[in-house]
Amino acid sequence: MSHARSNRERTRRGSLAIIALLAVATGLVLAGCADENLVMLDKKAAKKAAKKAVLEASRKGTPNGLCLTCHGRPGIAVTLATGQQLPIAPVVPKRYAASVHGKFPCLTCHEAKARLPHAPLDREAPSYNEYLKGISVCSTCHERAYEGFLHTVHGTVRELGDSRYPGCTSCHTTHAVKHTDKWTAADRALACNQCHRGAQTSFAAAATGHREPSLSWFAPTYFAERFLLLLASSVIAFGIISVELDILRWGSGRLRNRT
Amino acid sequence: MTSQESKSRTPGKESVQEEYIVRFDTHQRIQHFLMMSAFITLALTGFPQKFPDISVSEWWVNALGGLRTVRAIHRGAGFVMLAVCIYHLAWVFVRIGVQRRYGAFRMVPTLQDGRDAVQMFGYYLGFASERPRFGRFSYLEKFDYWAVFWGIVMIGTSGVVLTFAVTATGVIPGDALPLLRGIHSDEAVLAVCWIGIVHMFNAHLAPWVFPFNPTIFTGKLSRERYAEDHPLEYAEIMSSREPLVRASEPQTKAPMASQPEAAAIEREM
Repeated sequence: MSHARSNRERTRRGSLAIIALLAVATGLVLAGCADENLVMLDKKAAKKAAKKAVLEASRKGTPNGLCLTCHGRPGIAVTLATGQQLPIAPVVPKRYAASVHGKFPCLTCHEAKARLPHAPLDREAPSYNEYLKGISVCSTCHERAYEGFLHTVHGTVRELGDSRYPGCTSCHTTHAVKHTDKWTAADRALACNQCHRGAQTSFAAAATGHREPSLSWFAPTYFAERFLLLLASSVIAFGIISVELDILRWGSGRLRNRT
Repeated sequence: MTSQESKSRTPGKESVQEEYIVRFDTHQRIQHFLMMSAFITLALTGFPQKFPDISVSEWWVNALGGLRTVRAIHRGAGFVMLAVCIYHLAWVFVRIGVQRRYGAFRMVPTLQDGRDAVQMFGYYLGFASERPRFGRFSYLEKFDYWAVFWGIVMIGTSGVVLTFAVTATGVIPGDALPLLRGIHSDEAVLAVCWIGIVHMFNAHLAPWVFPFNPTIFTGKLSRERYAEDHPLEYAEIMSSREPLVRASEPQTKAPMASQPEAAAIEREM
């Protein structure tokens, strides 16, 4: 009887220890995720979700589990020194998993976030804008797309120092990135509509997709550009030759008169 | 300012300016001034957008107040240019349709222009002994004029479509936008190069007119220069001078500064 009681006692103590451990772990994670004060917008739901996320993370051993503990659920915000409440960048785990980057751990792109608590961000710095719009992150792997982007209308806005330029994430989203081959016309129009109000699918068809026109890609533009290059070169060459000959003839006439 | 020496195109043939002939009327001068102002503004605000990767472009855009301001100025100047084009067409219409004055037709290219161009190049290369004798407009002036027309059609139309791109794609296919953007910027580079090199040389920088030819701003060209640059038209003016000379005009030769108006001869446009 006493043996059975001691077994039950042990089981109860073990359960309590596990619960305490989980509570401590949850507390640590929640405290560590924020560089400033965490504010629970919906404390009950947040606690429940955090507990679930920690359990899932420890069970599956997924590399993103820890990050998604905070970022995988809405309703969490940090309070900045200014008093402003900033929601933690939310990620919908399922959408991220289904995205083209779904197999990559968070730290592949968010290397600087490896430390807990996260280093405070200087939101006024230009680098923050670059980070937010994905320029500094996406260009690491998508170098050619980035080069192509610089030659687009949107890239021009960035090159000319306008911080409101549309970056990678503006059109491609942050965590629900789809391969462009799988974009529907409606997807494109939706992306354009964020800035170009009223844009329809025909407007979205103007996007050259960060690629220079070629024989098989926006062929009319390709041929027009070649033609205009030829026309401009010929006309300007004619003009320059005409001017030079005029000066030479005038100069030679003066020389002849002197002699 | 006293009498001014003009540099003759023919070396060693320098003389004192005498009378002036009115070459451009007030409307033409206003049109040119507005067109020139709009053109310079468009070039200054368009080139940084065409060549954004040049470091000076970003500096210049910032100096002008940022990209949004630059684009607003660019579009504003574009509409001024289109308005000048409409003004010009209306002016031509009134001249021909209402006033029955057909001088504008002299701008129409003819076979003679081709022959003049050949003779001019022959002269440059030493195959012809003298320059071609031009009438109201030389082949280069006609080229300048029609190049602007071509430019307005190509650059102006594409510019309007690009300004209202979202609305325009309700009518035209979106694939056309990159095409129009290419046309707009490449044509603009051509226009700026042509005006900056050829037009500026012929109008102001040629040794015989350097440093500045005020004719397009004052409307007046010295009689001597007129006789040299547009001999056929000059002969025409002189042969019918009486009706063209102002009633109050004294027939004596007068220096430009002392009696510029009195010395001016009007001509039919």
